[in-house]
Amino acid sequence: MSVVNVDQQHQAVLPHVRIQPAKGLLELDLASLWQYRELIHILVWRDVTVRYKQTLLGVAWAMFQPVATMLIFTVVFSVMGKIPSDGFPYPVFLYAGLLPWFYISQALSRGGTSLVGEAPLISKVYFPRLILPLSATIAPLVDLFLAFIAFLGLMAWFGVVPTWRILLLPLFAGLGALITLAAGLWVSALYVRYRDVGHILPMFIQLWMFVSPILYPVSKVPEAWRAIYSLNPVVSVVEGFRWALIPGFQVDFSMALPSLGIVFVVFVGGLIYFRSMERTFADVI
Amino acid sequence: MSTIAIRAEGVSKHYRLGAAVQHNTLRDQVMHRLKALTRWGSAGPESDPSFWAVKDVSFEVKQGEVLGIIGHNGAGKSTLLKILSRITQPTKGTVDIYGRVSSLLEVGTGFHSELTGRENIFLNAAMLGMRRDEVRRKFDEIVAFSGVEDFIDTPVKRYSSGMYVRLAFAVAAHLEPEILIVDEVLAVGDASFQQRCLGKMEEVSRSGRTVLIVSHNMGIIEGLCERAILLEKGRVAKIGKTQSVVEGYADAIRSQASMAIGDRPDRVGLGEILLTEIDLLDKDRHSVAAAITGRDVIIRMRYRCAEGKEFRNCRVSISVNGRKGQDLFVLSTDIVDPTPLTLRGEGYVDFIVPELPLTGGAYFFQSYIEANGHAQDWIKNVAPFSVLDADYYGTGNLCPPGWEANGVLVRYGWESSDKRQGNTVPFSARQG
Repeated sequence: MSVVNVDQQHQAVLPHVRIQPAKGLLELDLASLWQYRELIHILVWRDVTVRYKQTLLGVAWAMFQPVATMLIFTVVFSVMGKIPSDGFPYPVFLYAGLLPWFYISQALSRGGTSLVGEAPLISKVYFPRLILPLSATIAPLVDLFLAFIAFLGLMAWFGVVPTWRILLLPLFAGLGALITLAAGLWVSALYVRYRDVGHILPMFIQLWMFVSPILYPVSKVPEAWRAIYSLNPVVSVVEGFRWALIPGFQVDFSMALPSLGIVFVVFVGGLIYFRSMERTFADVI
Repeated sequence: MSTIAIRAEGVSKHYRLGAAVQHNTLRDQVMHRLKALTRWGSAGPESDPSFWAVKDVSFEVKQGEVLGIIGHNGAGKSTLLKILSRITQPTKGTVDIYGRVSSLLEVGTGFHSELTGRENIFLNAAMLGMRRDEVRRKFDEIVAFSGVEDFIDTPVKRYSSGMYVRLAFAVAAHLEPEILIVDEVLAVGDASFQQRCLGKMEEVSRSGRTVLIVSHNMGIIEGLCERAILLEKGRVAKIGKTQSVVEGYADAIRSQASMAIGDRPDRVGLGEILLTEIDLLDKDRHSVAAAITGRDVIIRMRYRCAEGKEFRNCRVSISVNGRKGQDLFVLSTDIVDPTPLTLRGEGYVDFIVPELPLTGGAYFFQSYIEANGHAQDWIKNVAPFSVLDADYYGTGNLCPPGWEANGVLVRYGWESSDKRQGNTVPFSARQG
């Protein structure tokens, strides 16, 4: 009896952790993420810093890349390919779609490889593994912000004045981040087990770009296909960005609802799958 | 009554070798499933190679106690530490931990080569669970301890390996958890830095914190720990006062070393090339039971390669370890002759050591064979090595007691500014 009492006594003073084989349905334990918030913060900071270390242009690369891509795509798809843009200047139309897409593709390829890329960490130190795909998803938001600044310059060039809708932009950026994280949870955990993912992921990202309205307007998609087309949640994000940034841009948001359901299911499923695989990461990686 | 810091009960960890190692791609996985299907009902359950890395380990550590964990390679020490540090989960059993834990399974966890020393201090400290304000408070102390003040804003990729390790250990040394778990990280840095680290460890243990240390260095274990655990094949073989546990370990080494080398289970590596025997020869290539101080000796390492295979770019090495597990010196084929070594079939490599520079006593060999950068066969404490004392310097004089330096001798001479005194450097005279 006295032993139990002693236990209870210092349980009150010192944090108690019980290590045992996980069984049954796993608790998601999101509280531990809060405890490790400083680590998330510092990993995000590291990712941003390291990316532009020892480069001449530094963070200007975050602006240069989308601007250069925009110029090239405008020449290829608008000038040569005559792809319409619903009556808006094609560079503005394109860049408003490239903004979220650059973020999503970057965050997904970094998030997807975040576990395998940090294998030495995983086998040498404990922290909630969720932190790795999470911080890899957050870090490119900084690049997104810088690319957005460049977009303001582009709008000024074309004399486009933003409306109050621009204030809702963070909402769509948040949806983009959620989509990316949902996919990143699956991809990163699968990558630990199957190295095939390293080969599939770049192809998958490329394919995803073509089934999203980045280069062309949704109006180019045949009416009959549009319901299925809109199940791709990136459609909502890209359309949302254009709606928020380009005055007069029309979007039928009712089409987005089913895709939100999909994001939710993929995200929750991803959390559960990630948590159940997490136990074996250190053994398999 | 002292309180418990760690209580482990029946902790076990099972590894399935096949599943973890061989099916890392989808194709492998599919093939594996297909094979399993075709075998259905015929051969019975597949014999998947699996083993218990840790089995039924139970112990308690009281608050403020310093506990050593010793054992051979593959005895389960690292797995046990990984379970205690929550890096991997046990298959069975429970561990209760009371207090904040920091575990140091390597120094410099998470160091990024592009970041500066200053930035890496913050990064590494966050990985090890130190709060940011705590790091800020101790920052100057950490930098001073590391001795890299002048380079603190230089990316660590420009550091020498010594500076890197010193900075990394400095961060670790300033952790203030209630429980510290350390895996052999002391085996880094130069001697004076190691001394400082040991001092820090003693300070930590005296400050009432609980420490768990894994080490091969019996000197460190004996110096720091009151109690120790000896692990053998994943089980607790002995637990109790450090001295008696260390003696148990020495006995285990002796009994294991008498086993034929080819059959030894305590080896690490791919195993396509295996060490089968170590022989001692004198300079006329006659087998001898013991070497003699100051005489030429040949260490013959016999190997056997997997049939029909040829291995290029091989390296065969042997190191001589002292009684307490320290490396005394290393002989390696690539160091003295960089031409690539190719191994096939069976054969041997002879290391010829002129004028063996060791005093009389008991030593151990550690062997290592690699091919193309992959470890093929690594055995710690592969065989005992006895040396009979003889007059190394030809003067009849011995080292003063306490100055034996783990048994290593160096050929030297000395001269004085007064040229009438001193002897001449003896190498050239004695060679030939």
